[in-house]
Amino acid sequence: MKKKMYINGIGSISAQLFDPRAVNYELILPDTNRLHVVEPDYKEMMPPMLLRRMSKVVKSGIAAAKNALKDAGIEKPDIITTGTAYGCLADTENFLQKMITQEETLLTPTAFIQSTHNTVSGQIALLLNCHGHNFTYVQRGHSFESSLQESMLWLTENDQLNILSGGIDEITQHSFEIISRFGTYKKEQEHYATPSAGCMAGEGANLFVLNTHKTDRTYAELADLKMCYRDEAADSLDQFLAQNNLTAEEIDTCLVGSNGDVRYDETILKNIQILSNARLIDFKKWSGEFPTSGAFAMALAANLILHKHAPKPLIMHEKTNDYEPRNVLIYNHYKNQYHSFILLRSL
Amino acid sequence: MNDKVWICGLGAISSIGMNVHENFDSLLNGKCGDQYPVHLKTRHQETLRVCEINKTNDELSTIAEMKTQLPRAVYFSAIAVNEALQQFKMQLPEGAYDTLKVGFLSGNTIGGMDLSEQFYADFISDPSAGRLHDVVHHECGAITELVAKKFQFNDYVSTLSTACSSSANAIIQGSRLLKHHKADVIVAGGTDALCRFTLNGFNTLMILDSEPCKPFDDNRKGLNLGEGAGYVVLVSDHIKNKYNLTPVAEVSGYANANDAFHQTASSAEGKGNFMAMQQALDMSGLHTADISYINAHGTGTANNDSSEGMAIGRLFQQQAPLVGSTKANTGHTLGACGGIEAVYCCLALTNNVAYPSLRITTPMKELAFSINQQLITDRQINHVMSNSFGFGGNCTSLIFSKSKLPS
Repeated sequence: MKKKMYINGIGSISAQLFDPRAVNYELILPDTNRLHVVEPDYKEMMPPMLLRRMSKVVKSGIAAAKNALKDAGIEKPDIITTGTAYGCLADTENFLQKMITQEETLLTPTAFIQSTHNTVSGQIALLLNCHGHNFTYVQRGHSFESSLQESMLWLTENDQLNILSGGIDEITQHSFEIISRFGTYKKEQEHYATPSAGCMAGEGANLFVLNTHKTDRTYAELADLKMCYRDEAADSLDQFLAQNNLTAEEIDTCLVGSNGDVRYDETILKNIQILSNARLIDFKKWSGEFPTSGAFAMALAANLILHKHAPKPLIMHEKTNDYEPRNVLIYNHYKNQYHSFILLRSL
Repeated sequence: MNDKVWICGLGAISSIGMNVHENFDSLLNGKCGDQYPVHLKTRHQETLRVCEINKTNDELSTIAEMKTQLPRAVYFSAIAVNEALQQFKMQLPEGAYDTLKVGFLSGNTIGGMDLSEQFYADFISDPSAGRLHDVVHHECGAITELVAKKFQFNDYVSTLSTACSSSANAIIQGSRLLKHHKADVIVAGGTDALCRFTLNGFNTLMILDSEPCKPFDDNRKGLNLGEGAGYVVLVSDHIKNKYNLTPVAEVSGYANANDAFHQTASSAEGKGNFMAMQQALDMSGLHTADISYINAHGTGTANNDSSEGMAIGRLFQQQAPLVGSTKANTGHTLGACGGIEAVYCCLALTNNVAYPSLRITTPMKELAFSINQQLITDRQINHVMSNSFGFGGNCTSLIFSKSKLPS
């Protein structure tokens, strides 16, 4: 029999002042093409000596980890597995720039040391003195989902584990400039609702404590996950629902990864058009687009299930929010290549 | 979840060989790939030795049968994956391969950095300058994606990036997926190419030996960087039985643990190293005395070899098996080393050999066991342990066993 798995704690550092546990929160609709995370006061979370040397992605990752553990009421996880497409960009750029401008002389190691993709997972382990299994996945738009998939395998093997899993990515001035040159982002004066090619750049650190046991901290059941690469996402959705014994009508809420890019949004929405009863929530309106944005969607979805309520401003189109979210699907995509489905269910 | 996982194909490319056979031959003959860089253009051209694959990118693209101007790590990966897949496919009946669900898990640490470096040099002086083609494959995941497309791997494609244990961890995750019946076959391993970024990075840490490295020597000065790729074809029990395959080896144990001591340095006693080896042993159901040979991480840095040595000494007590490092042959290939050394371990099992550790003149005094400096061919090698340890305290130990143990 398939084991049940639960989300028991969440730490979310996003472009919004959003506490996943809170009943009330206000999501601000940005009027820019570039969304940075709202950074918390890190001083209470980590030693000042360390803080000075850490880049944003490391700090926000550690903060999200600490928040998730605190939220779940545990001190340290047994296993850490995270995803990041870009890794530690700021440190990478820092070392690269100095290496080039100083012509490979007089370099110092700090930025190099912290540029490694598993820096965040490693630093979390170091701070928590956590000797457990520690993995970092870097598969573009499937980075977070790969870590989630691994977590689910672990929980199937062993029902005594607390797993810290999630996604972390940052944007920097340089990454923004470079990715903009590929035509990925909207223009400066544009925003989500501007009907144009491109999306809003985003970043975030969203981590979860997962376990096979329900506690008084449990948000929702993590029922299933499916990734598909360039496949027909719509066909995959049929299969995904079938393997979860659900009909399309039973999905009451779908957090959809449409991102305001006119080149993709129509296709993306079409892929889920069979979900006739679902309230659609286009979460990237609030988080911006980044390869691990699915983790932000999962934090938001868990919040809706916990409070049995979807705030009206979240819902696309003219559908009522007078219902209780029970079967919540996250359908995300990255560049219409990396597609994923995550199913959360109410308890 | 108790199913066995088998290895039915090997592929390797490194500075000591373009394929598995050449690599094995070089190991038997104590050859090393060490030289001043030829293809890597750096300020350290005449001061830092590397274990470089003696081919230009264009030559590699021809061998890999891929387009030119891709990151170097893509070519290594494609060449080694192709070799491993060919060996596997040969054993299958006609048409069978196409019915299999084949996944791909690859480790790498620098992605397309070799090309990003070129882009960045132009970009930092003018944000509109630099060829976008040189940065489009920057991400580690892009390397895996390109190779996955070439071989049409569609299911369970992902990349592990945990520094120097990346490809060993890809083998762990591949094995786990098979035990959960998520796929029939997973090609697992890793790739990394030399670039200025890592050469200078390791140089700032002052852990590069300007001479050929000498792991486990008392006067070791550091590591030499290398490049390459290594992959194994992991096959589920079900598929092995269905097609009556003769595996190269079994993946009998694996574990990853964290040293949780320092971002780059290992704890003096090698706590994470010890835990990884012990947990891998526990999983395999083997005793320390069963291990015939340890392919150590053995980079040649003062810190690694000491911590790893302490951990091996503590775990194996009076029963240390043959221990050696092949990094004196290949250099430290970072995200590829776990994959390359997995191939070497399988060859040790099938050929009953243990490789000599090169260039030791004064063995480390603090070790509780001796490092093997001879080519050993006179005994059965039944179970082999392979260690890979990386930044972020990331410690991995894998155990490979003969697919059929002699009775």
